[in-house]
Amino acid sequence: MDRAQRRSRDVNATMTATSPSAIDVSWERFEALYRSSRDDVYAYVATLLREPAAAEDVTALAFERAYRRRRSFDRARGSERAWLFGIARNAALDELRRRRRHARLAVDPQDAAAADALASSEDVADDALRRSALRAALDRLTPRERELVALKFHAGLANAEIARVLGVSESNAGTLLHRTLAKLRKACDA
Amino acid sequence: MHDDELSTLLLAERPRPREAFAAELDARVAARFPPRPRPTAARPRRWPAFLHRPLLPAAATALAVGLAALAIALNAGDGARPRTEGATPATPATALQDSAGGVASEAAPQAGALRRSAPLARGLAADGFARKVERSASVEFGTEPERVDDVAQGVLGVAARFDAIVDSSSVQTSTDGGEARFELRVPAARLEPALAALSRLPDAHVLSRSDDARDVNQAYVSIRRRLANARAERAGVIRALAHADTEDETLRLRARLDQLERTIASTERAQRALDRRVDYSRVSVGIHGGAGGGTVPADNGSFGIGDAARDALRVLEVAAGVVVIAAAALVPAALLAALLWPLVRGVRKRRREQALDAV
Repeated sequence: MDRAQRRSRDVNATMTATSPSAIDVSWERFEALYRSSRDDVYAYVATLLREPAAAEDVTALAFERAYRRRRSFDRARGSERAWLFGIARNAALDELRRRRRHARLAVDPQDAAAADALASSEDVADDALRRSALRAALDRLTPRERELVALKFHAGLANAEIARVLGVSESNAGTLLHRTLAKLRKACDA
Repeated sequence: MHDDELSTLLLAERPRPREAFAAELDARVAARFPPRPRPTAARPRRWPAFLHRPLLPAAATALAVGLAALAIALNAGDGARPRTEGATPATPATALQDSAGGVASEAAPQAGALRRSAPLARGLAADGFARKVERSASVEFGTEPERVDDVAQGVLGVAARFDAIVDSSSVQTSTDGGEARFELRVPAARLEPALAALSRLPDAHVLSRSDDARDVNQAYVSIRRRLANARAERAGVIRALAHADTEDETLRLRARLDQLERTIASTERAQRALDRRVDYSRVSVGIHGGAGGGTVPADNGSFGIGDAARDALRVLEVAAGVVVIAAAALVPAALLAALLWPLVRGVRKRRREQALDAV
């Protein structure tokens, strides 16, 4: 089972452990949501903004907004994670609107340093090549396609949650994701 | 490239937060987001803050407008009636004409109500500089049949205490009732305390009361003008008489002088009469003893449960009126805000999506 699916199932388990009819997201529930989603939100926002510093600010802002609005959460309108990522998406898009500029591709300095340090190994070198090709392929995706990848693989959302965040139907979200992955695979193989 | 391999690579590309940032955010969450200056990068809102919750400011604005309209309406209504001290809305039937000849009357079944009328004419007099206002009042008391005499004595005592002139008085008593009537002239400057003292007469309660306030300033000015003209003409005639050459002219001037003297005397009498009416206010006092007059109201000036209930009802009526007026202003504003809110949200959403496309 891949990581995204495992993470999503854990989150669902967390949510079902609480009252299903509760509209008010209590502090404990918010804290659980935060602990299960902090890195996912950051990963998604960082992919969207492509700038770590801004991603940190927006991530913090998204959680703060979610905390302030936790009583407005309506379970009937989707899961808590979808609600949280909706808030994060709006904050990130607002940030993009504010800056109105292209961001650099988010590159984890530690990852790059580690790749350089392990470049002597042939296997690692081969892996680095593939990762480089993947980054180039990601660069060729449109922002919306990159957002889909971020929601699926970096944030670990299920298709239903992605659909909820993007405001499309679940089948439409699946179709868009399939096309994006096909395009990404083709770009990597090219 | 297989799907699994692609998934693995994508997961490996997943950005990870710095440990320092994660620790800082953990601390903020643990502290439940204490206030801090908002960072520059985390200020995505471009709409003014009030647009994010349009119903609240719309409601507040509508309420403020409604209350302001109510206040204006109430003030406009008050402008048509005299200002009275301690007036309560539970005693209606107050009417006042304009200052050229106003009449104020008020049914006041409670003792102590007399004091309310006192500032009425004072307000009229204060409208202009030293305006001449002729005031009069009529008060009807009710009392027990055997108390008519005592109350009548009380009225005379008040008249003496306030240097009032008793123009006429009549007291009739019998076993089954009695009646007394007084026509007083009270110094205008002491009318208010005199009426207040009357209202406090023991064993009597006010059945009715009326106040008259008549602005006689125009008449006063007219008399003064006529007097001045006559005096000026008299001086001229006297001068002409001194230079009269013929007997006919002398006779004619003397006749005119006599005529002017009569006019001046008459006008001066009119002025004195007017001054008396202004300086002394006529107060008509009636005392009624018997079945009707002797029924002293339960409250008799005191504040009881009934008064409290009436006041509470009146407060509720006013509050309901405020609510209705506020709602009249609030409902359209709320509807407008509710209609505009989806539009605002749609525009904001579209701008966000455009920001994503522009990356």
